[in-house]
Amino acid sequence: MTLLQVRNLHTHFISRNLDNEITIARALNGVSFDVAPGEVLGLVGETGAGKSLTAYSVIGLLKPPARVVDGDLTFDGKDLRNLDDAAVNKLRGGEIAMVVQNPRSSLDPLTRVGEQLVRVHMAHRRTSEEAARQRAVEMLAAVGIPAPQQRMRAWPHELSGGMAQRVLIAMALMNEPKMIIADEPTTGLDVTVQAQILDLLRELVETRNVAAMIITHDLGIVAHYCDRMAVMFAGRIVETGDVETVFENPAHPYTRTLIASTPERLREGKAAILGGGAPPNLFDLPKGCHYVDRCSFAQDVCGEPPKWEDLDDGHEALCSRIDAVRAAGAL
Amino acid sequence: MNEPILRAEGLTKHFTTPRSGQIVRAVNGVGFEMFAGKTVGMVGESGSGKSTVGRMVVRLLKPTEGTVTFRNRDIAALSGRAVRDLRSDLQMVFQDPWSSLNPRMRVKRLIEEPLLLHSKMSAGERSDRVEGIARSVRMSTQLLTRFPGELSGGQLQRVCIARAIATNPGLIVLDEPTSSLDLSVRAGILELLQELREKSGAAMLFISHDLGTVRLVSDYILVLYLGHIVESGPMDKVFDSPSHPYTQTLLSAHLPADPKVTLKRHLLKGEIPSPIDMPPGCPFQTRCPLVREDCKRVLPPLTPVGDAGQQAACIRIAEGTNKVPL
Repeated sequence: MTLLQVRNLHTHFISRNLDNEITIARALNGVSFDVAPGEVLGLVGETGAGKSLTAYSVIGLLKPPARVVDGDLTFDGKDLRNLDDAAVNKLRGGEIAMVVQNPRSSLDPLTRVGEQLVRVHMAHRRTSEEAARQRAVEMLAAVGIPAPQQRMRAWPHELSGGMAQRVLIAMALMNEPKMIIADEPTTGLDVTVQAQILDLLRELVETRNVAAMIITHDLGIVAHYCDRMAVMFAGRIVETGDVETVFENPAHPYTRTLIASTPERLREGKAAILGGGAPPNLFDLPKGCHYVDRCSFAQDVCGEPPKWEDLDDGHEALCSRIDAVRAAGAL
Repeated sequence: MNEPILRAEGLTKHFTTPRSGQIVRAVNGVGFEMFAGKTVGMVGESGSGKSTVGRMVVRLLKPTEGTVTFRNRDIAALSGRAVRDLRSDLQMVFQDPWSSLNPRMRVKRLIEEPLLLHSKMSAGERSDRVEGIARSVRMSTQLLTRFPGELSGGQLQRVCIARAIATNPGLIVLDEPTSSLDLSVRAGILELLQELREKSGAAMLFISHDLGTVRLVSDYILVLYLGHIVESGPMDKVFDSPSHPYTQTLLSAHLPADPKVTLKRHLLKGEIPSPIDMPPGCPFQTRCPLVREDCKRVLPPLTPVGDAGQQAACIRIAEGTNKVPL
């Protein structure tokens, strides 16, 4: 049973240039994935690959000129693209919660922390302020904030980065969401704090059967906190599968480069297959595979749109040269 | 063992807060040595004083107390003018390449700048040297005529490194040089640093909170906590058999990018205390899982662990009761 189903999602930035010609940056080009309750999906990829944009497209937070131009977004049986604003508002912060990067700039600096939690709850539930306050204290305690009663009165600037991130997670939990999208939830936090926050997220998924999607570029987080992973490159998912399968047997040349670039693999002394080139121009994407300019396996066939290859159970890659990659052997 | 190129002793930096006049004890008596061609990795949480130590080493900050002996000369007390002459020999690379380059200068000019300041080369010599440096940081010479805004993060960081090595410095401090870069780009920069170190024989101080990266590039490790070195030693020793309870818990929180590694963890509660309000005794006593009464009274000195050069500051080590259950 899937909770969120994304099919063939296309999000483009459509604007006009100085010559008044319409220009289109094709930021997402056919993204498809599922997330089921009780499961954590890790979305990885380099800066500009479209990870955050995917999340924003799903929860309807795109700002013009960005626009979903094609695809189906289904959440819990509801067609997200055809909901009116009021219905989307109800869903967002209620059934789907998002934890963003930069916790401190996501809190209102002029409102006490407790008040912000109460507002989120009262916007979605018919309840008394007293009950909302009660719940806010419970949630602050649940995310491991000491002395939650006192912390309700804290201002955002009085919180450390780790504390602010916990408050955001508490806020996400206020309305018992069915799904949590965490966009780089621990970037900029220390490893000890990072472990605390991720443990908390994982526990929520396991005990409350929440579906979660973690957007990150840290493969360590994916390796230890996600069940499945999807690798993005230039607005497309190029490989998906169980985390262990993908790490063991990365099939797409880009995934291979990523995994070979981790300090753990570099330490093994194997020369990295370095693929650090510029990302393709989103205004003028290659007709075929987007990775073709950086790929060491590229041949003429890569000029045609690649097809999905089924590898093992649930492990797929978008590459026309899978046989050649396989022949090159394990990493 | 040959002579160290740099020796820091009792390095201390206290700041005073502007309004309330409280004292921030950022660094408290740090000492270490650096050798030519070797990389010292410095790890610790934010607020542990890593960057402050780095900046004192290249004298961007003047230590409150302590000495920094660089090429047999104490640079801690030098005047601003005298420090400027040293700059060609002491260089630094910062975390954020976007904000450390002048956006209005072309790349060629950016790399040339240290040569203009520190050498008496003719324009022709400089031009040749700039091209040579660009090649040694594996940057296409076509990029030399571009502005920083036209370059990617990885290319910009290569420009910063090119600037740092332009004058053949004896020591380079790298403060989180790869933290803002994507994984595959990061690997390229790390490889480049390794290559430059082998070729130039410069000593490097590599500051990072990414334990995987530090492990990859360092020969020697310093673990900082609240401005104190709590453990130091050869890289293998510290990573394979960490001795101080803080090092043990810090390493246990690291997530290696390999799902097959099982995590054995002891997670610390809470966060690093404020350096304004230092706990008495051992700096780690407020979070240490093995804390006992005397930890709150005495500041333990760094003492040798084994005979391979590893040192740690914990009173339990002498008794062998310093293992944190994971």
